[in-house]
Amino acid sequence: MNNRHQKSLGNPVQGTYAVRQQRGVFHRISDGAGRLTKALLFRQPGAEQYPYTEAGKHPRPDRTVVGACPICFNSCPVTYHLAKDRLTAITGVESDPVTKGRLCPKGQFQIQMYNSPDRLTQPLKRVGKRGEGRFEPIDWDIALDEVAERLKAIRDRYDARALAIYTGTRSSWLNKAGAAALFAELYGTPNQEGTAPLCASAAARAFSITQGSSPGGNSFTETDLGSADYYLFVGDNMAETRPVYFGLIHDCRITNGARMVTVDPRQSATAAKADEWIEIRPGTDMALALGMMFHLQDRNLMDIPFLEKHVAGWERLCEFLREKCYTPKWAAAVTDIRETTICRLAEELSNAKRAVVFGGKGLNQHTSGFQANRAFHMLCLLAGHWARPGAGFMNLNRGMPLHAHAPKGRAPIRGPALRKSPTGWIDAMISGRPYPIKAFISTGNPLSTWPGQAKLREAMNELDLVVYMELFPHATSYYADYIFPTTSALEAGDVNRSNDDRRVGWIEKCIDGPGEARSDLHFWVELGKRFGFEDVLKDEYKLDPARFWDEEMIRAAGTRGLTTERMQANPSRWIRGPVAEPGAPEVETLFQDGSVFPGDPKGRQIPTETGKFEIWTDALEQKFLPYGLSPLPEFYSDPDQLTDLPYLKYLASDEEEGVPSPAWGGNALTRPVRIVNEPIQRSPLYDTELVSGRPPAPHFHSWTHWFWQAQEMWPEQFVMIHPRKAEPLGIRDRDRVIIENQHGSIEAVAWVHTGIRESSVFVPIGWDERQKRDPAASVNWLIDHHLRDPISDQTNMKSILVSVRKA
Amino acid sequence: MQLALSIDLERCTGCRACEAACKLENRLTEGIFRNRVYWIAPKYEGERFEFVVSVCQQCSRPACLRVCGAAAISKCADTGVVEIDDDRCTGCQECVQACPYGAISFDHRRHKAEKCDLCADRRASNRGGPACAAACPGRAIKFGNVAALASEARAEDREIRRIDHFGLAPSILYIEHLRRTDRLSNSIDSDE
Repeated sequence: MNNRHQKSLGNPVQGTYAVRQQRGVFHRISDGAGRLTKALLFRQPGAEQYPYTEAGKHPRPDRTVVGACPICFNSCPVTYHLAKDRLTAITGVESDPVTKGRLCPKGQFQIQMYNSPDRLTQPLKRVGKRGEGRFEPIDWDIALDEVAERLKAIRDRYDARALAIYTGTRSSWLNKAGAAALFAELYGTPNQEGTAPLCASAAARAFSITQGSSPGGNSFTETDLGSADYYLFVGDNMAETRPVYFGLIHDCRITNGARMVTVDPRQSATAAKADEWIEIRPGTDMALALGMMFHLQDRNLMDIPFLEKHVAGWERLCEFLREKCYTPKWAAAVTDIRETTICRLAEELSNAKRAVVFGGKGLNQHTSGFQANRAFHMLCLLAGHWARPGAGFMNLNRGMPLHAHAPKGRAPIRGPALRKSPTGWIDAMISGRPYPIKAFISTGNPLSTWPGQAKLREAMNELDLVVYMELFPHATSYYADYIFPTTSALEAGDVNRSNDDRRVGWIEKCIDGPGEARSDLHFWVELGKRFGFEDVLKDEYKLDPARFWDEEMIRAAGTRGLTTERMQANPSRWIRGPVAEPGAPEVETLFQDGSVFPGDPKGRQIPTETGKFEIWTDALEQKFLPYGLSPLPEFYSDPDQLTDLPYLKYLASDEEEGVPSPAWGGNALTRPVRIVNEPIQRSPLYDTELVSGRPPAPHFHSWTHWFWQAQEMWPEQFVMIHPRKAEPLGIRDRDRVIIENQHGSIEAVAWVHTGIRESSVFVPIGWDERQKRDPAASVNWLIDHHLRDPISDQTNMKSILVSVRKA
Repeated sequence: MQLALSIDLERCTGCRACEAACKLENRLTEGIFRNRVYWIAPKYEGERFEFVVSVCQQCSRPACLRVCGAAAISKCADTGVVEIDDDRCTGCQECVQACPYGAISFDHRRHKAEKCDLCADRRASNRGGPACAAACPGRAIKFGNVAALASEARAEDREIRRIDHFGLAPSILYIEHLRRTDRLSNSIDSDE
């Protein structure tokens, strides 16, 4: 391929990242990864080259099965094409009312996951040092016996809390909120967590407080979210993170002539499509909402009838905004956005008939993640954009309470989790304070995906037992004592991920996993047997995940109608919750006037204590006292800023107990804080704002880095850098660049363009130093795992000061 | 009749689902492409990322056809689709060089040229239009008769970008962006 085509289209041709991809095949195996994979796998050379053919022939499918795609948070229904016991193609479902047959790249080439020669295929036991990657094969049952024995010894020496369980990205609901959660309850450890505190727990907690329920109330339909005349994206890159949902919204925007504004430090694909892209200082979105709210109340632009009927504490909020002088002028200085722009945005939002604000990780992944979400809730409420079709605030999160629990009295009483965020366990793993964590079971890849990579490696070396259950030999596998090969979705039976649209979709088991790979359910049931848990983690669940779902996962109010039978009855195999009873109807827009929230025992329209959307109440004020915060959104940002802004001082460390966190019902401990406004001594070395975030649509965390086509499309870890930043540093497009700070150092390939704030750089997440192609130390080496939101326990992953130089 | 694609530059989000769909449908392996999505990064302030789908233009006067010494390339009289006859292709790669749109790939394993035929297999077996159009999350790629696609675009008050720089009369339609009055960040607000 050449670049003449671009010229012909009248576009400037640049030496961009795309050029690297044009050069075709890059197939590099690092020494370490090569050794491990050779040691681990019975590889079929060349199998990867023709993944869709068999002996050079196109396999013709003999049947198709419709089911959910398990990969990302778009949760599209797909058609699996099968020839006997082999998956031959994946396409969309044309009849589906939401996706209309559309499907993103990774949804299609996940076939490369099922047919990959790099999959783990047999249990392994470590024979070398941790990190060395030397293993020998072991029998499943013997390995489980040994793990159980070592767990018992650890529990006897310390207590049950000394076991921590992390269920990572590739883990399904059936694992993280199902079998792993049940095992943890029965075993007695509170330290079991999934990806939520790294991802979206700020969004979930904020929604729970404001509206009494964590998923957003609107649906991805033409008549609901598609019908808005104004879209404001704040820290949400939907085009790359939920491409099919964005396709629907964007199509409606063009057809209906709606306006779309994106607020983001970088020009994401979403920002590239918007009518307006506003470059904001990372970590200051909350100030934007505050400035906009000030303008609304100052100019009488609020929806008073809506507020009087449905909102608790809005007058108190208006007083608070005036007391604190959160004027647009103040917000302009904080956010680096012009005052007039802030006022205009507030007016546009207020004037819109139906407006939707999409928040995302740009709000969540800060020490102020919870309050930033809440501030945008308040903004939407003041403008009256909530609880109507085409009007509301959306931010993807864990969603409905789909969760398995042990029967009453069956599980030992557990104290609160040491921290809600698994990164809050790292210090205890190293120092044993406030209590020792000595065993770690991971069904994901923390050695790429957790902040605090250097400390995490230290912690891994301190542990008495590390168990790893995964599809691929990610970096974490090198530190494991035992590796168990697992199956995925179509090889086991599964449900899709949580998604903005509140849809739960079923995936039927259609093919077998490779070699001795077994499902997560199999692992937990078998391990459970060795502790006498078989009365709850029943043997029959191993081969019947649908039964496990129906019997264990849909017990909470509002979820009882989400049965596999109901999913299977839909040609697209999904159902939109909450649905209180098996026969109850699905709800497109929640909280509407005249409706009752599905499954609410008190029959309320809005399932909060006051029955209203809650901005401020006395009870909420009490709830926030233990944190040292108020439900009113007092502004603060992360400490890593190039200008002096208020930030949090932690009144306890991760090596101290802290206090029970009311936002989690006291089930987790947290560190109380104080907002301080003291100037910080900053090192002049670290003069650049690092923002991390999701790479483009073909990638999703660790696993897609083992799909050859995702690596063909986006091979190397890159860093987006502005030409005015790059030039003085002598950095040109495609140069290798070193990015470092006091926590670590990484390398990336420079992508020099103007689609980023001049003082910021952007590095995508997901790369792993042990991935087969284009391995790279993850951006999480640069991130301090201690800087977390006290309420949601989310880590700041998006405003980090670093230095940048040419390698 | 001339079958073609229309590609909406406004709707395309650069996700590369069309690349994945194409490779899956046509069983293409690494380094071989019938379509590609280029990300053209903004060079100056106020510019946006441009996402461009590069694909065979089904030209009316195809350069590839003229250079093919083996007479393996033809333009179908009924559909206007430019097709490569695998049995006749000698793998000389003249067509790869000749195409100014960079739309022809070379499969060194089969020693054959590869290019888009608007999913001839799918059309022949009544499985709908090309896989790229069916999968496109942004709803940017449409398939049909070029005249119908053009009038559909004009009915939506959309302009078609002129790309015939080589005098080959390409058939693929690139629908121009919406006319924005305020594309620049913060540009419409002053500090006064």
